[in-house]
Amino acid sequence: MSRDIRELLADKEFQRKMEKLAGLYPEERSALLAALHLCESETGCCGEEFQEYIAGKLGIPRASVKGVVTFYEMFHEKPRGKYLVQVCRTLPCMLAGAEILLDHICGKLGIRPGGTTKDGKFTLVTVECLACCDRGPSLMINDTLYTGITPEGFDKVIKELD
Amino acid sequence: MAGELKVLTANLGMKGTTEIDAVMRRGAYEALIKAMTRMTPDQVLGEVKAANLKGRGGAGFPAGLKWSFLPKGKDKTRYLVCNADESEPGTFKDRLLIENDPHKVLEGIIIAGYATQSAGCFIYIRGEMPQGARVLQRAVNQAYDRHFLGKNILGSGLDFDIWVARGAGAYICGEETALMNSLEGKRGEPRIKPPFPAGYGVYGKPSNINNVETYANVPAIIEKGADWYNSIGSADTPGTRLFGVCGHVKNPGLFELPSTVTLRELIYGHAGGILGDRKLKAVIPGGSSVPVLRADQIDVTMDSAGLKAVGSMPGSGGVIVMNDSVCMVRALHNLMRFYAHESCGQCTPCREGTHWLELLSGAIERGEGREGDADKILSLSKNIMGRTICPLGDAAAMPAESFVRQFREEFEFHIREKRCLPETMRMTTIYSA
Repeated sequence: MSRDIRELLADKEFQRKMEKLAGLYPEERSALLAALHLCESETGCCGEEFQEYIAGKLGIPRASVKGVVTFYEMFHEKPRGKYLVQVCRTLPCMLAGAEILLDHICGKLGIRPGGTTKDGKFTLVTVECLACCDRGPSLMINDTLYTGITPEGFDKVIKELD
Repeated sequence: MAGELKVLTANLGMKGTTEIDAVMRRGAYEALIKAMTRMTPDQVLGEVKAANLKGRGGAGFPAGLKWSFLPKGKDKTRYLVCNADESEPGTFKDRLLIENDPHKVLEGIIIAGYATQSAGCFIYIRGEMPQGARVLQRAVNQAYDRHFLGKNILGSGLDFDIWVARGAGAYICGEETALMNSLEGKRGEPRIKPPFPAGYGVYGKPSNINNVETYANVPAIIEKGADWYNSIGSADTPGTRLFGVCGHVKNPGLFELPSTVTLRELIYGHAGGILGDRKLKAVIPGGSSVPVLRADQIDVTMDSAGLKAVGSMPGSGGVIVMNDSVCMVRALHNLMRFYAHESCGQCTPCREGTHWLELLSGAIERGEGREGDADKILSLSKNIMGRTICPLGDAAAMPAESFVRQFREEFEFHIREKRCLPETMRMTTIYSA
């Protein structure tokens, strides 16, 4: 999650994964989003160094890679907290109580959406519809989805995270 | 009240239905075997055309007709695309299909691949659904092991692959050409049409794109025939549809029904009525992009003809129910923030228009609205409609226009009194109901 990018690029296992990704689709450039996802999950961001590496690897101009990283919500150029708390704020979750939940989370973590806790553990963001509208309010912490979550339920979930 | 008819959701709620052995014991891939060993590609195409299968992603275009737009000939590489970028607010049907019965979707895709003699299919799934992507990839691997994918499938001469690709958080990638750009490792910006995907799609090759639910309809059509399919539902939308009901209802969830069901039956019957036993105020019947309806407009069938009669459309089948605790200005502001955030920024009317709609609805909600602001929303909507490369602009303009038209008095009250209607000061939530 918070591995150093230089260490990651030198890692043989990571290089193997990249080779496999590059050969996965009919054309190599289609692997770009998958490669960025992998870097994001290993290092918490897709910074300049990885952008340069993957541009060379897939034969895509660096500017285009930067354009892609900055276009998509799930990629970050700067490192974020160890746990990315993504709270759905769209209408169906709002009707279920997402605003109450978000207020609670802001108070609990002591940050506003977009902020990161001082210890670097949590980054809080609001996201759009997570496609589980019948079970709202919903949020994701990294790759894990939580639905029908109450303020108390949130406290319990983060207590169990190391 | 008509009961549910489980065709697409027959396996939902059963155990082990992500495993190929378990679903094959329940009849999975039998339609594929029938199509590829006893029918010609043209016969399969003919059956789907005769079934009048309408696209389930929102636009409702006939799938068989779309397939027939692909140029024929052995010298051409054709691709299929499965749109699993489900992000329309209020819509959660594809997630449930993928996570619970992935093989139904794969079977439909491979049959479509046979009918169109395509080289393979990209399944583009939302980045926010990592679990679905894992389930799909595992199902794809199992289908390769069973030789339902790969070279010369079932001796039919068809070589067909499936690639699973993840998005990365962009609503716009649900638009077909933005999705194709994203598949090519680019920013998800829609392409100018023409050329249409059938001529110039993924990697510039002829491509056909359908929604997850559309492909999932195909096995039953092949197995039971177009006549059976047409005997269910209504003339303009045969077969069953997946309706997802959310918001202020007692029993939210996914219901598979013929589209002859009325909106009232859906809300008060299947979904158990209004949360908190309050009055129904408004309902968005087909995902956040379609025009909103008032409580007195729900005695209509859920097909195109029924919803058109009250000025809306079936869209993606996501029904968002709001009781009388909801402030319509606040609800519109929430939606306009969504579209402003998700506009890709290529076209000025959409980029600027959605931004202004967000600002205007926000100002009215905060009590900073000025006389004439309601008309300004109407005029902005009118100037976005039909003036952009892709339908995202329309998708923002339709709710904006309809919220003001249907709830004009509430907007005027806000502007005049600088506050919400008294009954909407505290909104019902699942915590308070």
